[in-house]
This record gives sequence, structure tokens and C-alpha cells, in this order.
Amino acid sequence: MNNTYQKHDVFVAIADPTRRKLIRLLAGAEELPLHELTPHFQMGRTAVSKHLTILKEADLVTNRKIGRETKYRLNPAPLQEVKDWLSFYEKFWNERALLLKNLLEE
Amino acid sequence: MADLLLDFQFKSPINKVWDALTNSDTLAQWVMENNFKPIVGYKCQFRNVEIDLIVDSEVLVVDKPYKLSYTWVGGPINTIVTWTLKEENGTTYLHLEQTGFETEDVQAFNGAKYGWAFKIEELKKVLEEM
Repeated sequence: MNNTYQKHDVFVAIADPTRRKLIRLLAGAEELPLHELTPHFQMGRTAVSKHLTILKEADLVTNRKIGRETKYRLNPAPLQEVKDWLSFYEKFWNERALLLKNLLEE
Repeated sequence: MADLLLDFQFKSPINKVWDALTNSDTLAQWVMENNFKPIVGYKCQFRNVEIDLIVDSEVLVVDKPYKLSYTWVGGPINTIVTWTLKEENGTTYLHLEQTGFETEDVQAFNGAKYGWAFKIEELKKVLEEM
């Protein structure tokens, strides 16, 4: 995986429900270690750690080592990209539905 | 998080709304030029030549007149559009879900990113002028 891939893979990163839950958990705390995240999931710490790695590659999560523990933190900036697309299509379909209304009521 | 949910109401019978969602000529009048057919597995395109917007689509669900679903893949996004219809007292309630918002292909996404940002601005202008 090259750097460009990592920088822009936000959509893939948030496509998975486990990763969306991780984002929500991290959004509710400043920083969390793996052992506090794992109990929220029906999977082991290795699996949760893999999901965190994908989030890290998409720049959605940063981590730092404190002693023997790694703490994870949310970096919400890349989510803006997704929001841009959502708001684009929100406007798109609202405009389209107005045209449809006119067509139907002709 | 990456889903869009919208609700619309029309004072028209459900079958009329269904026709507007599935008839290629009518779709062209309110969405875009297209070669859509309401047949599961059918592959088609929605195009707006003026702004160079092309959306590839494959029909997933056709449950006349209650549910219609197709993929909506264009530029960097790979989504599924699902329309759900319900009629009550002469009003048709139309629910739209556009889900996914994933990249279909990382290379295409990176390459298209700036081009798309430009096209979106163009599209916004067109929409505002309508």
C-alpha cells in the first residue's frame, strides 16, 4: 500500500460497521487503549486491532505508545470528504424530487 | 454515517410515482438521460453530457410498485440507491436511501478527485439555474 492509497481510503474505512462503531467509541473519548475498545465487540483484540490499522491507514485514527500501552485517538478531518459527497447528493436528490413533483402534478 | 436518507411526498397515486421512477423517458426528465429498464440484473447508465457526469448502474430489486433498488457508481463513489414507496389516502410517500459511499477503485478515486470536485461545482450551478 502506498501513501496515496492510505490518504484517500476513507470510504473503504468507514464502509464496515465495526469500524464505524470504533469511530463512535473514539469520538466519545479523548484517547482509548485497545483493551478498553475490545470489550465493545464480539471479536478478539487481534481482530479489533486490524480494524484500527485500517482506520489508521485512512488517517482517521492516530496512535501513540505510552509505556507498554498503545492509545488510539480519532482524527475526524478525513470524514469531511464523505460529508461533502453526502451533502452533494442530498441537494441533488432534493432538487430532482422537486422536478419530479412538477412532472407528476402537471 | 455514510448513508443518505430522504423522504418525499406526492399527491399522486403510487403507480404514477412508480412509473416516473422506472420509465426511461420520464427519468430523463427529472434525473438524467439514461437507458434504464426495471429488470433485475439489467446494466445501464445515467448520463449528463453537459457536465460529463456518467453513472453506471445495475438493477438490484424491482418490486412493483413498492421497492426499487439499483447501484449508483460514478467517479469515486460506489453507492446503492433504494426507493421505497407507500400510498396512504391519495398521497404517495417516497423514501430514498443512498448507501455505501465507498470508493470503487482507489486509482480512479485519486485520479478523479479533483476533476470531480470541479464537476460538482458545475453541477451545483446547473441545479441552481433550474
